[in-house]
Amino acid sequence: MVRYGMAIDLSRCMGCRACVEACKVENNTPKGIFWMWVFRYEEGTYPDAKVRYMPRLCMHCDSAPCTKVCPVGARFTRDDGAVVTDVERCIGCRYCEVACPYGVNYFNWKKPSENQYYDWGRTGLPYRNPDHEIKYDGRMVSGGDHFVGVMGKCTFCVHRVAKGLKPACAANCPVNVFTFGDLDDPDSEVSKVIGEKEHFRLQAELGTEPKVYYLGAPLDPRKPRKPLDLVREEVDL
Amino acid sequence: MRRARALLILAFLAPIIVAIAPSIDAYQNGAGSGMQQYDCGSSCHVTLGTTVVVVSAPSLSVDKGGGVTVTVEVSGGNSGPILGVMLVSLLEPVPESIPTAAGWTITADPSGSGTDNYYEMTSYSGSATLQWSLTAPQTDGIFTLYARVHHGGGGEPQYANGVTGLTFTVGTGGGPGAPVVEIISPSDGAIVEGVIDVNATVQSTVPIAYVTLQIDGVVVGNSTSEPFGWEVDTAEYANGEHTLNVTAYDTNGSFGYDEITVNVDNLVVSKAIPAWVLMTAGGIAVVLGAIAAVHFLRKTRKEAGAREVVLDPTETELLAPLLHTSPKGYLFLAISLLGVIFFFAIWYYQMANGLVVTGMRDYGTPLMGSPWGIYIVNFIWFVGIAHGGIVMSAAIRVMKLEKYRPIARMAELLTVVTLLLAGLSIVMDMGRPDRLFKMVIYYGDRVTTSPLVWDLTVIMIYITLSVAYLYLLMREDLAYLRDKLPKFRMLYGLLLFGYREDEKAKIEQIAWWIALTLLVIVFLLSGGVIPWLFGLIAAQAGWFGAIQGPMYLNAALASALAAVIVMVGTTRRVFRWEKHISVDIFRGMGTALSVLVILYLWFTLHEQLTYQYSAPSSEHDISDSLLFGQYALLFWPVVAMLLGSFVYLAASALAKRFSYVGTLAASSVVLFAFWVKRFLIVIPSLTHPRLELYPSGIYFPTWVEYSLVLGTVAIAVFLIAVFVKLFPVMEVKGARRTAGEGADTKEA
Repeated sequence: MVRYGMAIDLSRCMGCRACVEACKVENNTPKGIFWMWVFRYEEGTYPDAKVRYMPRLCMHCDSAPCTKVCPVGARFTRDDGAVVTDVERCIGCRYCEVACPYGVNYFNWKKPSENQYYDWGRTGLPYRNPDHEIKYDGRMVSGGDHFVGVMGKCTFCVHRVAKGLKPACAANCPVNVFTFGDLDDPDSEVSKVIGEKEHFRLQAELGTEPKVYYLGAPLDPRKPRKPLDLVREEVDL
Repeated sequence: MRRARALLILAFLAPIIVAIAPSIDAYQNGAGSGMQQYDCGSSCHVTLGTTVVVVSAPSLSVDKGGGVTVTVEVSGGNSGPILGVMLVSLLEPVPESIPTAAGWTITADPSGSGTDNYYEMTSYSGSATLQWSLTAPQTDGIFTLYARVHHGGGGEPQYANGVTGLTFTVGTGGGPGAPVVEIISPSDGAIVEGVIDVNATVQSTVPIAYVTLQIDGVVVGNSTSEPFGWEVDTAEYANGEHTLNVTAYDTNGSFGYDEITVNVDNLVVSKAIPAWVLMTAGGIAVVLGAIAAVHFLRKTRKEAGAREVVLDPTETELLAPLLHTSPKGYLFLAISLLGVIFFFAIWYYQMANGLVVTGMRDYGTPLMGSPWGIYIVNFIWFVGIAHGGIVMSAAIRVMKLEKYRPIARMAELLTVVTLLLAGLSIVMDMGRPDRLFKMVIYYGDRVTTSPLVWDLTVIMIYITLSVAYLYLLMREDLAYLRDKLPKFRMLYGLLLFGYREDEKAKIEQIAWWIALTLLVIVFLLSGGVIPWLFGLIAAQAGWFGAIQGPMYLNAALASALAAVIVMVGTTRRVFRWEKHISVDIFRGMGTALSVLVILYLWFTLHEQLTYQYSAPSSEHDISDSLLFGQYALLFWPVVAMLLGSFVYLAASALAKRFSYVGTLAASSVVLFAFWVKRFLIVIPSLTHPRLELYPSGIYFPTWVEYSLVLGTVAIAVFLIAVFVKLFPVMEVKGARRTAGEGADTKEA
């Protein structure tokens, strides 16, 4: 059985957000919704300060708190380890979002009518991708169809993985920050880089068992971190 | 002379013959090249105009090397008798467009004797049908054939394409190593009816990505893992032949398929019964039922009619709301009904536009909002009142607090109404309220882990117990009043279904057990399940921990007590029940409330101190935002309101001075303070994400949210008012029985 996971090499990331854009285009996400996001932040205090970047997608936790709290089982873990939302079952209570310590859930507050960057001169979603319109393992889990009133989040690009492709963020990174693969296979690329390099997982102390590993030194709790961009003003749904 | 004439004619004819001659060459130039560009002089062909070219073949799937007959129909356009038609595999006029270059073999052309891809007619008269026979390429794949008509002249490539080609699928898929698909059932050509199972096997050396089922070219099923089977309801298709195609795609992008034809033969049944028939039938049934009910009730009334209708003065006072409604009363009902209508109008607006009309947004980047808002605040506030209310009533019964008996039914009523509104608050908060039933469908799966499902369970348990409790204990009064209040005889008669004179002892017994159950489970439910909605969530700083349970139970009891004081105090004044609800009751409840309020402040002190002392920074931040930050302007007023109410209530208890209005006011303040306190539990944690890389968020409820929350209060007021107007909210028989008995003491 495969158990997909990802390693993110923080020493390589240069904060270009190509992964953010790739995710938005591949999954057709409307305005204000970022299944993939790159934190750009300042760490430490002057003069010992550095600007750092950290891509953030769904951690696809092995012990995902969001799947536990879901009252209808719309949020579930696939056999391949991806944590996804069944958009045909979700009732929109947003308990998964509340229970998630990573802030990766994005609710469809309204009918998608605008896109984040380009509008192609039309309302609604920019294009149709038939891969999003079919069920995977009998459940409607792929992104792209953004129904009003239901939850959405990173799917590990279930529709691409089904074809043997990498998730869009991993495929489009210009500096190979992401390594995607089977964590249960000791010979897979992702298992190897995790075995070779120093790594940590975000908020692993909560017992969520994330399947996304960050390569690099863990965040030093003694250092203050300040986000560089405040975007709420720009994004008004 | 004759010879001269013949020579003259010949001389005239010669250029014409010379002009016609090259057209015979055109045949040669077109053949075998796949190109239309050849020179036939200047007048071999005439203007093409609007020629229509249609290609067709009996089947579009062929085996490798299998034979195909392609029919080309040409019509219109050509203004002369000479027309060249060409079969090609590419639309570009290049040498490779000859079908043989793509692997086809032409076995016969329209001339019947050659194997060329080009055929020229010299007697075209507006339409023609031509046939080529070919054998398919020896490789799997997709191959397309087009036909085009040619018009040469002046050295220009002039031709018209039949742009719509024929796409042949040769072999069983896309190349070597492609998946091999076989449809096991149904069999090819089978006659099918009803729901059929379509099953297929897929053999592949490469992992299969997904397998689709197409019916008449439309994808109806998709599967990514074995077994590859689908249920198809043939009733959705017209009787007759349909093609089933199962195509498997492997992870390399190769595919293979199997296609069969089935003959659907369903018994054609008449259409469903039209809606108007059902509605009419339903209407008739309702009318008949009503007539029967009225008849039945009239009969029972006749039997009871002989008795004399007498209300003694006490009863007249207790039944004041049932006997008489003042114009002010009607105005009050109308205003609260307007509130209810307003609520549903705003709710409709919210459902039509999505939750975007609220101030709630996703927490974290980029929206930096709070995913839950005042709907959830409202939910826990109402649930608290509900739980506390029924517990008060149960305590009065189990502990035999006879002094408080007159308010028991009002506490029960408050419970039922607020429970309904607690449920409504959750539904208001949902993005898809139409899918509420899914919580029932998947109940068994989810009850093990989801606190929200536990909440649903608790609301259900409480609504069942409290409605049963309220109803069972009211039956005695209903039976007593059925004959005394002719206005309500019919309503009470219906509710007294199955009433027996001797049921009282049994009902008392049941009610006692229900009361005991309520008293026991309240610690687990009010002091457990509801706060666990927050207390178990480690993701949000400030929620996780054991203190939520006791604090919540405390808050539930305090807000319920305050709500009962406000409700009983109001009705007591409106209906002049001063004689029946003694001031002592308020004094006792006020003292109890003061104890609960100071207890809550004590809990709050513990909570904030632990956060401030040496907690993880995320908890510390929450506490800072409450005590000194953006929520201080709400937090300190709440503390002041609670402390002020405590001081007032405790002082009046100690000084043995009592002010009716003062107690009511203090209770209202407590009720409001607890609503705001609930806001301070839900919102600060959600706007201060535990992951420090997110900036802290903001949440301001919009007018829609405020309107809906006020609307729920209006619904509560309306439901209570209607109930009070229809049913004896004061125990009539109980009051007669206990009149004159000494008052017990009430414990806090």
